Amino acid sequence: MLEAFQESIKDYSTPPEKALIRDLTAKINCYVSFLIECRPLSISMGNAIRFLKTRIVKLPLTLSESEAKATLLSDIDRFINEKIILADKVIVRHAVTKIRDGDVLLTYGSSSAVEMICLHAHDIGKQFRVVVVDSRPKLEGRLLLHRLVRKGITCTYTHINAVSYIMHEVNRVFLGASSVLSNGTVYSRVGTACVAMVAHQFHVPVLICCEAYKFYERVQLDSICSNELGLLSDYRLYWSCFLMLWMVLHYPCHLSRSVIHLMCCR
Amino acid sequence: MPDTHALVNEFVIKLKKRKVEGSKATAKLTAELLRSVISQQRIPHTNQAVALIDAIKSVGEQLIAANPVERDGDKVTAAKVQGFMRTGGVGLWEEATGGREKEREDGDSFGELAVGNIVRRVLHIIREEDLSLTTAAIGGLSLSAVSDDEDDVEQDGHPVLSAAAVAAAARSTLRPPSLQTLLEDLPHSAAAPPTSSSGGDSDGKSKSADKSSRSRKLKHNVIEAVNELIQDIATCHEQIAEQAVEHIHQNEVILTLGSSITVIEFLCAAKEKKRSFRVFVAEGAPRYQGHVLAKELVARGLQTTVITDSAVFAMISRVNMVIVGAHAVMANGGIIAPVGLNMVALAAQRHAVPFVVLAGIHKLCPLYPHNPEVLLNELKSPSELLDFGEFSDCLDFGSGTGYPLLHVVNPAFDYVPPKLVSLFITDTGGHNASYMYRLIADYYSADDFVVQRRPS
Repeated sequence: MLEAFQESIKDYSTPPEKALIRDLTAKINCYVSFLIECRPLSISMGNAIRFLKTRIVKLPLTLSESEAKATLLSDIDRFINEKIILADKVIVRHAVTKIRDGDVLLTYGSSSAVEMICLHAHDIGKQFRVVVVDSRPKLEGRLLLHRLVRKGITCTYTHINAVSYIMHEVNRVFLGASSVLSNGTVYSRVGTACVAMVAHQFHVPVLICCEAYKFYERVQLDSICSNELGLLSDYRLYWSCFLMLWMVLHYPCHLSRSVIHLMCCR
Repeated sequence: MPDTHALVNEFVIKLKKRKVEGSKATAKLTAELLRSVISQQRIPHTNQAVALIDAIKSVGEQLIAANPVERDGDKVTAAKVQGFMRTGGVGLWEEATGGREKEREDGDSFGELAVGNIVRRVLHIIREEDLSLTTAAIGGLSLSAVSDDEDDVEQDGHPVLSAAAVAAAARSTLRPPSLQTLLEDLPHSAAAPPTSSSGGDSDGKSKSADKSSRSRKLKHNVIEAVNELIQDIATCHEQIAEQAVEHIHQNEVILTLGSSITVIEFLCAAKEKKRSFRVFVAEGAPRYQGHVLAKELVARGLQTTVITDSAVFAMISRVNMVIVGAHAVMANGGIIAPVGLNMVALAAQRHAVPFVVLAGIHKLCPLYPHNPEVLLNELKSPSELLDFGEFSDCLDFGSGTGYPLLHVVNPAFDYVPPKLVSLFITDTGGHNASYMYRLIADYYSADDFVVQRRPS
């Protein structure tokens, strides 16, 4: 999304008799409402848009149009570099220290952060096994499974109902997140709370891997207050039903052992 | 006798091939088979009960052995896959998981526990009937002043006390005190027990006195009791469904997972009594029986919503009650249930939602579960989860170290510990999980927990 905004800023030119700042902000708002029409924004996207708007508003009025555009483009580049790419690298570096030889890791669905952790740990030669837990309707775990097995990591594949069966073999649970909220609640793919709950029953540490730009100042108690309904066609059924795509993990501190994130320059 | 052998063998083959579906059907067939074994069994005049018990135990052993549960199922399956894959056959993928897994299409055939339960029930029935006949015979003998046996003359004064006291003592050792026995009227049990020698003598002589009348009676009584048992099994759904109205109220939201006939009957009974409520049905991957249940409920006019299993935690905050069926209820009150129910039970406990289990008494098993996730579980074919063709390029067993990179785990059952179960609804009423041991005392004898004939 940020790269799309970069393209649009490059192509932008200020119409005559209008201020750059206000006009550009209006244009960005148009784009954002179009995106929202297609699909509700994720929290990380919301944060990025807020960052961009703040940068636009803070542009000094003395700058010419091309300078302003160049500043904005470099700002977006910096955001992507620092908050996303570098953040991932640091997360991976920290997380890999939590994996010991002979460990059995469990992950749910397909999270890019967790995938990077597993691949990096395998690259530096750690011996471990991964259990990939999958669920309908997206069955995202299969993609993760493909990528991990291709690299030569020993994997076990199962569905979310079997999590109670497989949990007694597992040492650590790594989960990705879409966002972490103000009261410590983790907002992630539907089914994550079930996995965390069963891990808690079996006294297995749960580690959430989430970049700092995904943090958000909101509080939420359960999954129904604010959520997104998925496509019915994903579900393949004959009658009406609804399903949740995102879900809230109830997250009092005793449930997980640590939350890995990177506090970047804000 | 050859007739019963043929019947038993036929049933054993059915069990091995998993052609019998559902624990209710298994229980019914087992009870009917045992009834025919009893009716065709020739029993001697002395020690009738022992002969019957022996016969039932021998048949029971065969039946229980017919449906073995895989031990260390994960490693066995993985080893099978590895072994077959080394031979390099792509088409052997499904064979590798055990051909018999494929034969099971729908409906669980995990009837091993139900078979054992019924065998133990019948053994308990035999012991009970024998005991009640002994008591009645001795009681009847003592009431009539005339005694056939001339040796009894010297013990005229004591037969009432001694024989009845012996019977009561025997009964109390047979059946540990349960609610039923405590409420029974046993006035003569309060009498001081006599010396055991005199009691034994009179008992033995009175036994020999009316063997002939008892020989027909024991078999007859046992067969009547087994008929009652079959009747109970057949009507367990109705009796459980009768209690639906007490538990389901207006405008409630019920959550269930997978499909169970008991649950369908339960919900429909409440619907018929004009309660209006909604049902959330979790799919129950990987067999997706939840779809079948939802269709059935919609056909009967209930408002149903189907959700994925992963959404259970999300939805349970808006649910009033979770109602599920079980495959087996263990002696500590824990249940063996379709896979995924442990997760649901944990979520229900987290949100303080009552977790109600519907189970007929024939599902009550007198065994205590030890490591039930592995030992009382079955692993089914991984083809339900993954298509082999998709991953054939990832699984290169011919080269390298040769051990499989990919395991696929597909367990059929889950163990739910007793502290997560709020209520059991059985055909005898509603019970707490901690009450299960009392029910076991009522329906099973301690001698029968291991169904194995002592080597003669």
